[in-house]
Amino acid sequence: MLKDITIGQYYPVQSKIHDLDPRTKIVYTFVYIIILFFANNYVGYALGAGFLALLIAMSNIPLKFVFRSVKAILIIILITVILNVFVTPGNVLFRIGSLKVTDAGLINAAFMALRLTMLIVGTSIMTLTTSPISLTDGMEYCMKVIPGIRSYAHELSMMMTIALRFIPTLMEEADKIMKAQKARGADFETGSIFKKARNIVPILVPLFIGSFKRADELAMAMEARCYRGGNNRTRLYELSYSKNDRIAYIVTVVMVAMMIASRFLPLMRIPIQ
Amino acid sequence: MSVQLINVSHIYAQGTPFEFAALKDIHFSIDKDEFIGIIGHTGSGKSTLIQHLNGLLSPTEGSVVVDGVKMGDSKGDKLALRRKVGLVFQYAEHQLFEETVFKDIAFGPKNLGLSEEEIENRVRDAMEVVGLDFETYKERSPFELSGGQMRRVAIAGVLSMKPEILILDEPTAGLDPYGKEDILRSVYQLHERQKTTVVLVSHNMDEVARLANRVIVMSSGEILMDAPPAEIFTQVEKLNEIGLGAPDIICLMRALKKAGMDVDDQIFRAEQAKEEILRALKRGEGAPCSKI
Repeated sequence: MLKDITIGQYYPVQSKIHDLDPRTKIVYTFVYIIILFFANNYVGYALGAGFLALLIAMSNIPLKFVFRSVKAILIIILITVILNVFVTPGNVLFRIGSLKVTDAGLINAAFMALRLTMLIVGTSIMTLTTSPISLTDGMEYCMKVIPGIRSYAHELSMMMTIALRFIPTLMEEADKIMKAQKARGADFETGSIFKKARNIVPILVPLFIGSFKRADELAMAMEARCYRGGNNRTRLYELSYSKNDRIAYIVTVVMVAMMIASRFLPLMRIPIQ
Repeated sequence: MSVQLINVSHIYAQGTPFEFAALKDIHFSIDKDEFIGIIGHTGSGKSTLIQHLNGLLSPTEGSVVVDGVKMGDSKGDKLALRRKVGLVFQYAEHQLFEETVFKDIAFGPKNLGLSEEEIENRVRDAMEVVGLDFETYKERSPFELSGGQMRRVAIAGVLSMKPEILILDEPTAGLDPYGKEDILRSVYQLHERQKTTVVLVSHNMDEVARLANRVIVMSSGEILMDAPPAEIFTQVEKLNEIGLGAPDIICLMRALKKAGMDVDDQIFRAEQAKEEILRALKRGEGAPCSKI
C-alpha cells in the first residue's frame, strides 16, 4: 500500500554514521560519486567497494534495506549490461544469432553494473542515515559557500524542507481519498490504461484541492509569524562538527588520494584487459 | 446482514522499524438493527477497525465473516462487501471531486452499474435523507457549498449505494452545533425508518450516549468494554481512567446528587435527566430538550 512507501527512506538506528554532521555526509557522498569515475582497474574498484563496505558496516543498517534502492534502477543496470556485452569489441567468446559476445564486453558490463550499484548504494547510505530535515539543513549550509546560489540558499532549503515535510501528509491523504472512493465502489485496478487513467480523476481532484488549500494556509501561518525569508534569520540549532566529523574528512581525503593513485601510479595498476 | 471479526489483529508496516500493532485480537460482531457507538482515544484503533468491516483493510491475523461466510482475499468478495457496508470517512467532504452535487452523489451507484433512472432515484432519496433539496442543489458545484453542506453531500454519496450497514467515522467533527444536529438527526432517522444498521465512531460521549443502543470502548488496539450504554456510561471512573470523560449529563446528575438533590445518578440521556430533575423538584413538564 501507499503507506508502506518511505520517502527519504531514513532508517532510524544508532550508529557513528547517523551521528555525523549532515554536511560531512553530503560532502563525502558528493566526493564519492565523482571519485568513483576515476576507477578504471581492479584496484580502483576494490577500493571503491571497500570504502562503501566499511560505511555500510558502520551504519548498522540491515543489508536488505541498503540494497533495496538498487531494485529501483535494476532495469537501467540491465540495459547497461546488455548494451556493454554486445557492443564492446574484443575476442569473440560465442555468438547469439548475429550478436557477438566478447570477453572485454563481459568484463566491461560487470564493471559498469558494479559502478552503478556502488553509485546508488553510496548515495542511499546518506539518505538512510540522515533524516530529511537534517539533510536539507546540511544542504543549506553547503549552498551558502557556493557563490552563485548563496543568496537563495535559505529559500531553496526551506522549499525542500516544506516539500519533504508534506510528502507523508500527501501520501496519507491520497491513501485516505483512495479508500473513500473505493468505499463508494471505485475500482482502480482493472481495465485498460485509459480506463485506469480516467479512474484516477476522483483521487487527483480532491488531492489537488487539498494541497492548494494547505499551501495557502501554510503561507498565511508563516507570514502571520513574520517569516520573510533568510535575511538576518538565526537558527535554534547551529550545525557543529565533532571529532568524528574530522576523522570522516580525513578518511575522505585518504580515499580520494588512494583512488587517484590507483589510476595513475603504475605500481598500483592492475589493468582490466 | 451480520459481520463478524474473529480474533482479528492488524499490524501496520510489518517487518520494518515502524511496525505498529493497531488492532490486537479483536473479536466482535455486528447484527441487524443495531446502532453501535464506538468510542476511544485518537490512535486507539477505531479507524483501523472499521476499515476491516468493509474490506478496505485485510486482517494481518484472524478473519472477517460476513453472513456466515469467511471473507476471502478475492476482489469480487471485497466489492460485494463494499456494496453492503457503506463507510463515511472522517472529513468526508475531502473526497468530493465532481462538477455538480448530482454527479458526485451518483458516483457510487454508477460504479454499481445501475440504470440512469435508478441512479436518479437513489440520488434523490439520499439527498432527502441528509436534508438537501434535490432541485436546489443538484446542479450546484459541491465546492461552493458550506462545510456542513459539503459533509452532507459526501454522506449522501455513500447513502446512495443503499448500504445495509452504515459506518460513520466522526461524522460531526469540525461542524457547528446546528450542522452536527442535522447530521445526527439524519443518521438516526435512517436507522429508525429504513432499519439500517449504524456504526457511529466518535469521541464525543454525548453523541454516543444519546443515540447508540450498544457501545464499544476501545483502548490501544483492544476492545475494553462492549455493552449497552447504560452499563458503560455509569462506570465513570473506568472511563476517566483511560482518559475518556463520561457524558456531560451523567456528570451533571452526579453533581446534583452530591449537592443533596434526590435524583438517580445513573441517567445519561438529556430527556430522561430533565424528567428526573423535574420529578425531584416536583414540577410539571418542561420543553423538549433536543430535536431527536
